[in-house]
Amino acid sequence: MAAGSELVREGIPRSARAAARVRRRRAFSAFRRDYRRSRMGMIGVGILVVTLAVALLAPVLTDQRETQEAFATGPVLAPPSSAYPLGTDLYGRSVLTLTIWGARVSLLVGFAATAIAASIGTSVGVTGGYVGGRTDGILNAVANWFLVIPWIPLAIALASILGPTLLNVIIVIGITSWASTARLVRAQTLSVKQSPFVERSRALGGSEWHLATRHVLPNLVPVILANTVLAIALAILSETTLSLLGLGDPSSISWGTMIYEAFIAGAISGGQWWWLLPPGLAIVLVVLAFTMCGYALEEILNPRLRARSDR
Amino acid sequence: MRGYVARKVLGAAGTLLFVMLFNFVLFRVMPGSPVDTIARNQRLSPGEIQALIADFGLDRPLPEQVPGYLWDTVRGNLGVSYTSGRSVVSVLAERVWPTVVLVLPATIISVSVGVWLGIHAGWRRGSGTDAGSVGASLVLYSTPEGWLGMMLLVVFGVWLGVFPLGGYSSSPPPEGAAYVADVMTHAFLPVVTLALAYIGEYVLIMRSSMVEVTHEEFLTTARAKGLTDRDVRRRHAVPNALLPIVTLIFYSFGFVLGGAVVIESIFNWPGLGLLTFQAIDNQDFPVIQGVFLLSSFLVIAFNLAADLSYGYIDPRVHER
Amino acid sequence: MRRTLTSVAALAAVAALTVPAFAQSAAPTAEPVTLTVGMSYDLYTSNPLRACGCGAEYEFLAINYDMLLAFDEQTLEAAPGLATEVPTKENGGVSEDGMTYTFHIRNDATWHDGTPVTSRDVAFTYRFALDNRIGAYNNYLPYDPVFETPDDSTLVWTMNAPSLSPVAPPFIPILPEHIWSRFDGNAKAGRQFENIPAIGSGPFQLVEWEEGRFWRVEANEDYWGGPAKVDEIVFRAFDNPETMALALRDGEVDLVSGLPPNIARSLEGQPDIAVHEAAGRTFLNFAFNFGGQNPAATNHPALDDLTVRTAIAHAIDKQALVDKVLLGSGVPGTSVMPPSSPWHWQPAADQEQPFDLDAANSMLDDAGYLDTDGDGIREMPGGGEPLDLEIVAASSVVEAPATAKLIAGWLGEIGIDSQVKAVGDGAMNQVWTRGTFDAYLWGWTPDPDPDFILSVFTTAQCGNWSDGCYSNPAYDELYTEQQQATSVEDRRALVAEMQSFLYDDVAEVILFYSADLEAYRTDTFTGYSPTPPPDGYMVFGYLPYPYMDIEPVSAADGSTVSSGSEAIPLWVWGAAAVATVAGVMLVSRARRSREDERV
Repeated sequence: MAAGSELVREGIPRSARAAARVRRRRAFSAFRRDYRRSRMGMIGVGILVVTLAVALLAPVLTDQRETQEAFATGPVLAPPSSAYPLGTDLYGRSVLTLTIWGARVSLLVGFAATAIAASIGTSVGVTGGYVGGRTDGILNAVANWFLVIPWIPLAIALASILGPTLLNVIIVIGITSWASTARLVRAQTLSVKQSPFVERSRALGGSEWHLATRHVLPNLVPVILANTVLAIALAILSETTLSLLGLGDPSSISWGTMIYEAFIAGAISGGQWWWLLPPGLAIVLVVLAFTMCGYALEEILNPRLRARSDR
Repeated sequence: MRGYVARKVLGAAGTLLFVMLFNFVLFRVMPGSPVDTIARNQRLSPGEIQALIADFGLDRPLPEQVPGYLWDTVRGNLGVSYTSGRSVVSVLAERVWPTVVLVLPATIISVSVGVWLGIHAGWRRGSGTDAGSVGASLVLYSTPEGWLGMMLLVVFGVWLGVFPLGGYSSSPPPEGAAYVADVMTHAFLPVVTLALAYIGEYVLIMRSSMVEVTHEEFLTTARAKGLTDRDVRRRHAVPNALLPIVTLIFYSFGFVLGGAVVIESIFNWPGLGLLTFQAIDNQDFPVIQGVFLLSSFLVIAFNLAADLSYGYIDPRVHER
Repeated sequence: MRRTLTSVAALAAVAALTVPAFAQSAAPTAEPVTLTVGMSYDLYTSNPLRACGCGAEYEFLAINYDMLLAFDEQTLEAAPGLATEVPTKENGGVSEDGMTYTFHIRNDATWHDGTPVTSRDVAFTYRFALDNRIGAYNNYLPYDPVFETPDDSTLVWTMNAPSLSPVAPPFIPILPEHIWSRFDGNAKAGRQFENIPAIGSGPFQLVEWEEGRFWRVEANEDYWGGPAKVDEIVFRAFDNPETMALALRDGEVDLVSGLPPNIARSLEGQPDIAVHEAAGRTFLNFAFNFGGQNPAATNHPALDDLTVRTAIAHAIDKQALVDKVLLGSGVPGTSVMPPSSPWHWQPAADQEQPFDLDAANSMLDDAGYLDTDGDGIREMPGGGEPLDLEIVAASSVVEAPATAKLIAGWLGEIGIDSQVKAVGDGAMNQVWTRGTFDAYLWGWTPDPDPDFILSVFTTAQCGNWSDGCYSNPAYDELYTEQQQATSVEDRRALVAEMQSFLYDDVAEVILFYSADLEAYRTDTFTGYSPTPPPDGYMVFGYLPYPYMDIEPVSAADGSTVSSGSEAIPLWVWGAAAVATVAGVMLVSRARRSREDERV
């Protein structure tokens, strides 16, 4: 689909707003075209689509009752077989079933925690960068200080105060990881604010609100998007870290808690590689996929990098 | 330059003060008073409990506790562990060493290998070396370090049985040079795990830094002067591309302590990470607070070092 | 010039890493015979006044100190310790009214510093525990006892009521008066005393503790019971059992305890390793919160109803727990005293509460706990609050979180919703003190004598050792009765009655007795002797017996510590040093190059 054909179909834009819409749609389809060219990005998306589908279809593919320790029917600690392709755990649960259900929780934590971090980070960054002055000073100081606070000790402390529930794990990861987004968004806001087209719009009498929502925010989207996708990868890794320290929610199955359970039950000495390997590989694969998507996005959306690659 | 240094040092001091105050507030709004921890199972009389509360200075309103806390902290008095009754400073001091033995070699290895790979990948962008090292780095970057450690335990501990495991040294420790060798063999797997966990990031950053540099004008000039490709890389590209990585090294060194928590707990390594974990398990707040302060201090100090090294390497800063 | 200096500095930094390493290793002298024991706990404290009954402290107290009366190696009944014999009415040690006991202290016992042990030390220790309210101990000293010491070898113990508690016997380490008397009246200072080296009178003495790593005891050559056959024992703390098992495999440790069943299985059949299954003495319980901690306690009202508790007891498949959680290394539980104890009680066939979900469901139906809103969860009779329990599992008890999840599954089948939380010991204490839970899973290892564990269920223990604040006046009365029983037979009957009472009243559900899985190397030491034989404990045996007969496989062999290979890591360190220098050079080069460009 060529960008030109859309213009023809849309006809001549009747208003400035419509013009902007057309411009954005064209930009988006150009982006889509660029993204499709990125092999890394496409592999990443492929992995994610499959994982997401598996996660969503978990209740269809498997029986949730099988994930409950009390009702598992399999033999205990059985190696992979045709009945249990990835073997079973200490309670006789199918590791394959657990890995499928684990995708739900791990992805949920990744998305939800990143949503929290991205919203805090974006609000703080935009506010600071756009408003400037003392507000910016304070917000920037808070962000900087969150950046120097050692993440893991803080997260452990918070997790142990709040208690090990899934929601708390999400909150802990969310509120300890917004600072770098805020810093990035702030820098980008500053540069957009000073860019010629914003100056022009201001000179033409655009209100501050108009400037902020129509010019600054849309121009931040690419940066935030790329950053967010990378942040999801980090959030999933963070969930794993907390779980490996025994601070995960014991009653929800995530890949991290699976590894933790296998570890404390002695799967290493016991030689139950089938219990330890699948959740770990699943994490590597999904985090890799998000990272690849993030890098692909960055490459396309970051004009500086893009200019380079075109050269 | 002097102004630059002064500004950075002042900034770091400000952040440190902020962290100390935060530390104070965080551990006082935490549920669980020391009395819960200490008084349990010791059947203290109400009078004794009051004395304990007073002893920890918890009977006064919060704002009044601040100056005492700050003064104590500055003097290096971080209080007494609720569980063992020993001073927090001596508890921390005991644990710093094992963590350094773990983190320093790991950082050195990951930086040197990572930078080397990054240079070559970035210089030959699109080559097999590039694709290989970027791929490997991305995979390592995506691997949870704890799980990686477990995998190494499986291979080297269970299958091959090559390395002694589970701790910092044999006990009782051998003497002299044998002791050093003993600690080194014990350190091997955790150090390798930590190094692998961090290598990916260095490769990727060094690579992109190299890629940026390859398009700079001065490289074209250097080539025009007739220098060989190798000379252009070594004498012009690498030194310029190193700038961001040097600051990154300092910067991440501050954080690597935090990363050691999981590795220490898996390899039973008696450092600060394991201490943090155990202290939180016991809700031993003075110790947690001490660890927190120490690690924040390290991050701030290394950030400052990063800024200053930046000033040292990049002459433009001198003029500011 | 500056560049050279920085390189030298970098080299020095790397070298400096190794210097304190040398400095630390000054301690050992000749070639002592060292037994190395791996445990999943570190020492919690080296001070007996801080005793909390947790972690490795048990073992320290058991081997560093003597008690007035010990336990018999075979039967775990009271046996001579510092006292030369167990007083009875027959031997004239107990007065007719059963209120006065006379002990004769042996005259060949000395403290580790050479001072003789006298009856005054015993009297001091008991009085100190009472006066300073040392909670771990004063429970053993009921009825306002008075201790008199007519001479150095005689202790007269008088109570204001008859009781067998002096020969139960009190589980209190005897402390030297000349060390601890300065803390009399100032328990706080006493609790802060480091106590290393720990002066006791036991066969070993704590001389070193590297927190988080190991603690070391040296054999007492002058021990009145004869010296041990090893020179020292190093107890190493392992944060996870996996590294502990690997350390046993490569000979870093000689004996380990507390292995998870899966790991113990993997060690079976390994060369030079033997696995020992010590008959379960530790039980895991599913206990309820009855409130009473404070007004803010959030206990569920349904748990006050015996019917609900009985239904819950019927909804727990203890055999499945043993099979799954313990992989069979244990026995389903009934009462607080384990099967290996002569005090153990077993319900009669018609008294048993078997796993029966249907029975549990109809009990709840009959009592009016119905699911009125159709969400699958029952509500209180007449509607209202749903049966929704918060279950807290102590993560320090390895089996607890897994067990909690299994139980939560079954409870769901009888219409009781539940949330499982796994928390560390610190948080557990808090939850208990505040009463913010409905049920919890926790493990107990009772003393050989049932008095203490039975006292945990008395009303008086609420806020101290009774975490759920179970309270029943009828039970309290029974407790006092057994404490005041004057004949062992009477007491035995009362103790059985109390266990039966707790079972019927479902004060808590005793889930199982888990075996302690221990393993040891057969190529280093020999003479491991479980207490009591043959299926008792080799570590945490209440007393020093298990360590007394251990000797090296070949006396000529001496120390058994093997240090691993050295070549590869040395190479790595060399490479690291080179890399540092290279890094510093790169930095300098980067700077120089920048300067070049500027010019």
